[in-house]
Amino acid sequence: MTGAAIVSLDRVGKVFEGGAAALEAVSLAIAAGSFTSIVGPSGCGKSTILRLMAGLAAPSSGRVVRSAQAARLGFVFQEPTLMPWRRVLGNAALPLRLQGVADADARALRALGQVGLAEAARLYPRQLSGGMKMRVSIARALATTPSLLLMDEPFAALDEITRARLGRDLRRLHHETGLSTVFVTHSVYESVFLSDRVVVMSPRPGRIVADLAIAGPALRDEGFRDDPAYHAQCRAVSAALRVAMGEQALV
Amino acid sequence: MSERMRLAVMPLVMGVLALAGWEALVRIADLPPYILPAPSRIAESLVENWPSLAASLGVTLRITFAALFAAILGGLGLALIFAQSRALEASLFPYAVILQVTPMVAIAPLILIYVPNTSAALLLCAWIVAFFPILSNTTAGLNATDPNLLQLMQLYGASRWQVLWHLRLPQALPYFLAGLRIAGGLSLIGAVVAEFAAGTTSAGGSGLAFRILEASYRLDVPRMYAALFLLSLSGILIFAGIGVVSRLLLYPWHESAKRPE
Ligand SMILES: Nc1ncnc2c1ncn2[C@@H]1O[C@H](COP(=O)(O)OP(=O)(O)OP(=O)(O)O)[C@@H](O)[C@H]1O
Ligand SMILES: [Mg+2]
Repeated sequence: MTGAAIVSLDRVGKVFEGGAAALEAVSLAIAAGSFTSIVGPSGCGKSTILRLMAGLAAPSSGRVVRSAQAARLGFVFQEPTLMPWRRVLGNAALPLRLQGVADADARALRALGQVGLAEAARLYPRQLSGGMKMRVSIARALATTPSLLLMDEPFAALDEITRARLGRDLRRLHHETGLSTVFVTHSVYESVFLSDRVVVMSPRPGRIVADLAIAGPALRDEGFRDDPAYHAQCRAVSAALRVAMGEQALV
Repeated sequence: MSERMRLAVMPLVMGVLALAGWEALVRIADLPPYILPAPSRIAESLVENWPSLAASLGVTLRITFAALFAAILGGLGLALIFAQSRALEASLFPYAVILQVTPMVAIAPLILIYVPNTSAALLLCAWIVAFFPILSNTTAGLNATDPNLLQLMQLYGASRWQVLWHLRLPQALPYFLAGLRIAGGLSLIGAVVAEFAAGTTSAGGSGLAFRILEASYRLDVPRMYAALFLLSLSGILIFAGIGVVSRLLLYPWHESAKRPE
């Protein structure tokens, strides 16, 4: 059920003040209801792309087009970005409180349950581990029931098991609600497991060097990881990434 | 004995030893009280002169606390105004600095001339000394917003007031409290310095500084020490009290308020 673009970049370039180009002629249309992953070497501009999509930064050249739907936006920053003076619940409920939603706490608590942190609701951020903080940040984005979810390496600080579980949950949420998701990751396996589409970027200045459609069941479970098609697609993304980074393709 | 208790007891032991040494020195060398009174002699003087000293302590503390309160209002208020406009901050802040770096003893005589009511003049002097740390710290705190959190607020459509209330004010709280700690001591210093400038002639001057001056004219050194003791004790208690308030406000979330493990 993918349709028109919910957000798209049209030949977008980004040059930071006093720096060389970070992005060069990036064109990327995110279809509504799709799950897209972006992989690429560190510093290639993945976070910058998400910030452009969110309207937190303006392109230096080219255009960013955001549909009306894109206004219902959830953003998971690369850092947890929590307010140390608010408890976990208060942090997760912040966007809802800002919008004056009446049942903000109840909704935030439900989102905390989704990431397995309902028990930690009364704690302060400094009492949490790095991975727990990141999950609070994910809950904060989910609590707003967005139509577009931008996630910047949200699972990087998590253990393998939690990571796999949250990945499955995210994929199910996507399947059930048609949530459009753009997901930045360093893990080729994660990108293939979660996505309908994987975009591979070159080192700085970031360009899109490969754009691969991923075939797989709409609702994925651990069984998908044993699927030969899954492995083939992981190899294809890996190969594209190696080419992007200037290595000889081994496949 | 736990490490924490040892750390608390050590300065007490130190103080007792120093007092005992002082007492012994005075007795062995047989120093007259107008050169160096023994601690026991100072304590005696404190008891003897308690009614007048206590009244003076009250006068000094009233000015100190009034000045501290005014410094909180003024420092916080100005910081909030500065936070609304960089231009205003840039044009006014230098004058706050000038007010701060000019020694109070040098301005106090002028203020005493221009402000006919001595209590009001003393209060103004103490306020000038005390408000600056609150202003400068709070201003720094209000401006020290984490850019990521600011973007988060922007992303979720926070208004200017919501950013101030939910982000900038809480972020400035530890800075404000650190400024308050300094201001507490400074308002006492400001009050005393202004009293000295007012001297023994003016009608309003009956605080502890006045007592010290008065005793010095009579070469009543033990009484000078007794008044000094009360001043130091007040300063210590103000500092400690503000420390307790800070810790209560910051304890749950701020690193500085973490208990030592
Ligand atoms: N505010 C900024 N000012 C100047 N340069 C910046 C700024 N933000 C990012 N850059 C530069 O732009 C480039 C892309 O940064 P970005 O954060 O998008 O990379 P990334 O792909 O997300 O990297 P990582 O995988 O390490 O998170 C980097 O080379 C970085 O130095
Ligand atoms: Mg990044």
